[in-house]
Amino acid sequence: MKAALVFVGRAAAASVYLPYRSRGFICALAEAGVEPVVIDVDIDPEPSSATVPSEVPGIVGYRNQVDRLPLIVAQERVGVVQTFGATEDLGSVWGHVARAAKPLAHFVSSDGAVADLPAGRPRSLADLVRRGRSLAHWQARHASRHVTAVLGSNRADLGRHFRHGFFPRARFSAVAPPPSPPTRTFGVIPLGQRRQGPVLGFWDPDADAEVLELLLRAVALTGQTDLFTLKIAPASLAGRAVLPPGVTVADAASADAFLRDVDVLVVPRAEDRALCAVVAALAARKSVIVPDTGAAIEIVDYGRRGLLYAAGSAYHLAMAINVMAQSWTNRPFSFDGVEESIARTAPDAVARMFASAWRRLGG
Amino acid sequence: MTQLDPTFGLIVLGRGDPRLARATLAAAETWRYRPARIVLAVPRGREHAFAAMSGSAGVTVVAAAEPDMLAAAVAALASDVDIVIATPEGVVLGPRWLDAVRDHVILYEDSVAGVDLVRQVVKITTDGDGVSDLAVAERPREPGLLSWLRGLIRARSLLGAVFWARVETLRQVKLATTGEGGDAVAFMLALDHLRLRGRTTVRFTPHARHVRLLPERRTGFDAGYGLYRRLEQLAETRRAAAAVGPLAPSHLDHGLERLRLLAEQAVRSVVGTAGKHNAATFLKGALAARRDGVSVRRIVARDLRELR
Repeated sequence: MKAALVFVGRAAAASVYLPYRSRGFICALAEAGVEPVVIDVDIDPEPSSATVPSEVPGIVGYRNQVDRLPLIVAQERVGVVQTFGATEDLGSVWGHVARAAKPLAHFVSSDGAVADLPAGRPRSLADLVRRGRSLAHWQARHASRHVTAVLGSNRADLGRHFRHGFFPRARFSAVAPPPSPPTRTFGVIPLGQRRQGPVLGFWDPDADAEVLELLLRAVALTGQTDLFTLKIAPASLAGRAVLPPGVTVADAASADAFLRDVDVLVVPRAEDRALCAVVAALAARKSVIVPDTGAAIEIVDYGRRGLLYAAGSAYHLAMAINVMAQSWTNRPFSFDGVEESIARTAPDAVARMFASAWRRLGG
Repeated sequence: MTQLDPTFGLIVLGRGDPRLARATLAAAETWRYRPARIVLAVPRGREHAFAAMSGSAGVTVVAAAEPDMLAAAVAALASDVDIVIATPEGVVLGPRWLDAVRDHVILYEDSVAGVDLVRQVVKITTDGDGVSDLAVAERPREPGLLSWLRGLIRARSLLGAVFWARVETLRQVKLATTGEGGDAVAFMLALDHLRLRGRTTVRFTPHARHVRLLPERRTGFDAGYGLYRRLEQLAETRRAAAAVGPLAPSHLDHGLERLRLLAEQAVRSVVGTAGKHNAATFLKGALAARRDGVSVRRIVARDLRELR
């Protein structure tokens, strides 16, 4: 079976989508009997959306305008077209792929997913206009009728699309967690030898100031900074926000190395790229505090293996940190079945999920 | 991960009438895919009313305090099933309802939970206590237009409702039930939590019927007072939650729900044929709750003003 992997706009370069064009994923697809063709579609000429060269030599790749898509699909005789990218960028892409009359699947990630509108009634005309959706949103929603199956990194972002009227003719949806590199397991500290207060850790090389500010605001809101300490990494984060005295910067080269020195991993925002650190933490049997939505919640089995809090709320994150710090010696979390969850994020397992979805479409 | 053959667990929230609970359980016997576990949740102290059913094969009776009935029942079957179905006594689910939910769950992995509202009603005149089998399946269906109008006008909290969810997504979600009436509200509150975790749906189902026993001679004052007060408290809680974080979308419009509650009961108390007295006393209870709520708010506002 031949499949066209279409990366649209900034998705070609976004870190969330890089695993889907990595050597591990492409080779795993080949092992699953799928011959991939990578197509990068130009949407904007910004250098930020420059194509990342494929890691696999010999793979057929195109970089072209959107109106050439049906021609490429017909020329390559692909059985199924899989699109990656921000939902609002994809309206014209889906329309053009439909002309090729091939089954079309789309992948929904936390990056570029449709967001919920603010709750409550608009207070003024300006508020109403601000809440309104863009034209690209409506175009994408209309064109999404051509999508015959939807895959997603998590249920929350997938569900939000369906709730807002996207993919009305999708025959099925499937959840395939983002691929994560293999992690190393190291010795678990026995309960008796643990420190009195936990060391919280935050790891995200791409974190922006907004995420850091949310985390630091939550730490300030706890009012009990003597019960725990917070380490953030990598060191490059130090310049992105003003750190209060209790917060230290760790100079760790990788998430694995960083997690050796922390007890609890804190994830302040529900993003797919946070999943690698969560998987590494669970593999090392470290506790995690994750938002109540996104891909991480499925890996922590909806609270069985970690503490959840309402996403986007510094107050609720602070309460979760307090609960973790106060019940540090008696955490009611189970790591049963964690290996199976981690195995689902291996690139070959994710590739098998994609291949099986494409076969269901008759590709 | 795709569950090609999900197992179901049925929870029946029994409150007072074993005949209604028996009708709900009898419908489950017609399902093509039989539930792996059946739990009858009853309020503590009311076990004696359902004692005859506790001996029947496959039914586990769980007694808990009224607000914890659903949570206790889910805990009782969570380890054995993939999908949990909860419904109050008197809601009769046809085999096609289960087939539709099963297909939906298998095909759409992002879908985590839903509430199906039941607008088809079967009114059964019992005329005494001798009737044990309500034989709902044999009763004629009411005209579709009547059901449609009921769905348009009636408060959601007074409609029959079915809640279904993937059991693993229910962890760390508060499942609280209220008294008679208000099950739909309790289910929708759970959905508000679950919508962050995946797709949640609220819709009407044509494949289920809600049994109502006539004549209704009970006073509706307590039910009206309790339900209206509960809706006001929920609206108040929602306003308070907005102070510490972004306001989350809700499946229930609290203002519209209270308006529907008052309007429908007012109409029924004037032009209704059966249960006129019940509707009139229900309305009195709801208005009393509204009056009390207003006076409490006034007192709080006055006290705050005096503190300044």
